[in-house]
Formats: sequence, structure tokens, C-alpha cells
Amino acid sequence: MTMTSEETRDTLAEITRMLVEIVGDEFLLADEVTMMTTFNEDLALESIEFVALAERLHERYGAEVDLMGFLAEKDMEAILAMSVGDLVAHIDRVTRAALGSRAAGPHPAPAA
Amino acid sequence: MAEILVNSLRFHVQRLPAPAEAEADRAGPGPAVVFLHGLVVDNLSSFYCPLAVPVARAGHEVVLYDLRGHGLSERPPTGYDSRTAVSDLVALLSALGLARRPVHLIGNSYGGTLALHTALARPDLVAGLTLLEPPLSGAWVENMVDTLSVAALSLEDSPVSAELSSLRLRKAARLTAVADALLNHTSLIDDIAGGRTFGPADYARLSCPVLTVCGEHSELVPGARELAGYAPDCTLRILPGLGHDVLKESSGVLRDAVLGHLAAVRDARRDAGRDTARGAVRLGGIRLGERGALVP
Repeated sequence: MTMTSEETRDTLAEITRMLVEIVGDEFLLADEVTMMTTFNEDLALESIEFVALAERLHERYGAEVDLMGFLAEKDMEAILAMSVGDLVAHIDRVTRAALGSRAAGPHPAPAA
Repeated sequence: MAEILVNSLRFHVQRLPAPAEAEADRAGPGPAVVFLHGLVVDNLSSFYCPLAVPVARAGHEVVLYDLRGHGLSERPPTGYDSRTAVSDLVALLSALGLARRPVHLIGNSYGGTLALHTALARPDLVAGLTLLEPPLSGAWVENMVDTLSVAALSLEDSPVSAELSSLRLRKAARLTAVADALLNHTSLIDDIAGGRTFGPADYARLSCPVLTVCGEHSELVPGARELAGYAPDCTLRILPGLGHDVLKESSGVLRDAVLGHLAAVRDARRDAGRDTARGAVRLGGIRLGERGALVP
């Protein structure tokens, strides 16, 4: 990652906080959650825990993030093989596009 | 985490909202779709990718929940019989505000059995059924009780859970711990053993459209054929090359069959509404041509 913007750090911190809440601090296997941390290999996240994470992300970032659209073409194995960074990048991309379109005109356009 | 207190128990529930444009797009949204998972090692997450997300994106409100004792729901020592499971589901629908309009139930394996029990006990609440590999006959109950009893014994004497948790095998440790708790410390096996099975008279009473999906090599195919033979409106879909685990193995084929059935039921209900308005009488939910087209 060449640019680690403030938003990226915020999103990463937010996801880490959610993971600790879902899995519990003592069970979170990785010493530190980074952009490179993978859900399956590093965190041993269970499918049901990812579903709980998806729900929190939807609540936190709203329909704009279109998490279901992002996940629609993947199966659970592919989802758990992702890194935390993949998810952070998606959220940042969508929220930035939504902010941009809001700044561009008086009527908010749907995020692409 | 979405937890709902129902029948004095905490249930883990996940709702996926229908996309806003789908509701605006059609005359009315399709029925809410409620998913029921299988026994012991299963939970709501097995539906998430193969069916729940696609069904939500097709315009249905989706409800996923962990059955009592399973997944992240509370695990009481008793109440694993089908009557209590139906009572849990009915109370959950009320708590979610979904008891006023019939819902579509999609059940996998034993979840399919529970969906069928619900449709027979409360036909007013069920708009349609999708049963994936539902165990329906008495022979299944005996086999399952035997299998679960053997598993219970092997878990009881095994320190496997403690050993696994000390390694980086958290998932396996959790799975065996849940299985041990359910099989050795609840009435689940006895409740399953005492369960009622189904017969032609039950199937004939089914008033809603049903899609049943089985794997070609599954031992549950004969029971599914009997269901399809007696239910007034049942489509049987046999997926080639597969066994019991159609949910995990079939990917797009199952998704397309389920989405096709939901759309056909919705269209038929809409047509039936129009026909009733003109004074015509229709039986069943789906036109015959569509039924035939779905059977390979």
C-alpha cells in the first residue's frame, strides 16, 4: 500500500475494534491486526463471525458500502481468504466516491 | 450482535434488507424469506453466500437465525423437539413483525424438516417452502440417532477440544465443543428420537408451493419423491453428481433453482390475485408449465 491515508487507518481501527468485540480479545490470534492480516489464516475467523462482522459494517457504514454486492460473487472460502486490507480498501473506495459525489453537487448521486 | 429474546431464550438473528430499488421496482416486495439450518455442526452462516445474499439482492427481506443450542444462540438443556422449534420460529416471526404476512421458509437438511412442520402447523404463516435435502422418513430418524449417539460417546471421553484450543485450531475446537455440548448435555438426541415423521396424508395437506432439492446420490431421494407425489404443488429438483450437501457443493445451480422458484411463486400469486378479481378459481401456486420445466 503506497498511501495509508487517515481514512484507511480509521477504517482499519474500526474493523479491528469490531473483530475484538466479536471474537473476544483473548481469542484474537493475531498480535496486531494489519492490512495484511487474513481472516482465515491469521485470525481463524469462523464463517458465523464473518457474518456478524458484515452486519456491523453494514450498520456502521450504511447501504452505500453495498457489502452484499461486494460479497455476492464470492463464496465463504474466498471471503475468509481475503485480508483485512481488502475489506478496508473496498470500504474506503466506496465511502470516498460517495463523499466526492456529495461534494460535486447539491443532489447526492448513488456511489458507482 | 443481533440478539432477540424469544421464548425466554436469546436467539442470534441476522436480517439482510432487500435493496431499496427492488421494492420500488415491483408492484410489491416478495415475501420475507426465513432460513432454517441443519443439526449440531450447522449454523446460519452456511446459507450466507450460496443463498441468503442472492435472495436479498433479488428483492426479498432475508432473516437468518441460529436454532436454539446452535451457532451463537443460547443453548438450553431441553426443547430440541420439532414442536418447540416451530414455537420458537413463530415467536421469532412475531418479534420481528413478520407474522402478519406469510413468509417463505428455506430449510437445509433438518431445517427443511422443521420448515415442513411449520407449514403443516401454521399454514397461515407460510407462503412457500424450499426444502434442501429434507429428512422425512422414520428410517432417517433411526440412522441419525445412531450416528449422533456414536458421536456423543466419542466426544465425551475425548480431551480433543482442550487440545485443539491450545493449538492454532480454534475453529475445530469450537466445532467439537458445540457438538459435545449439544449431544452430551442437552436432550437433543432424545428429542430427535421421539420426533414425528411424515406421510402422504401430511403432504396432501400442504397448501403452499414447495420446491424440494436433493442430491442425486442422497439416501433422502425416495422420501422427497413421495413428498412430490402427494403434495398438491411440489417441484422436485434432483441435482446430478451430488450427495446430501447440496448447499455447499452445488453453487450456482441451487441458487438459480431457488431464485427461479421464488420468482415463479411471486408471479403466480400476482396472477392469482388478478384471476380472483375476475372470478376465476385457481388451485396451487405455480402454473404447470413452470413445474414441468423445473424437473430435469
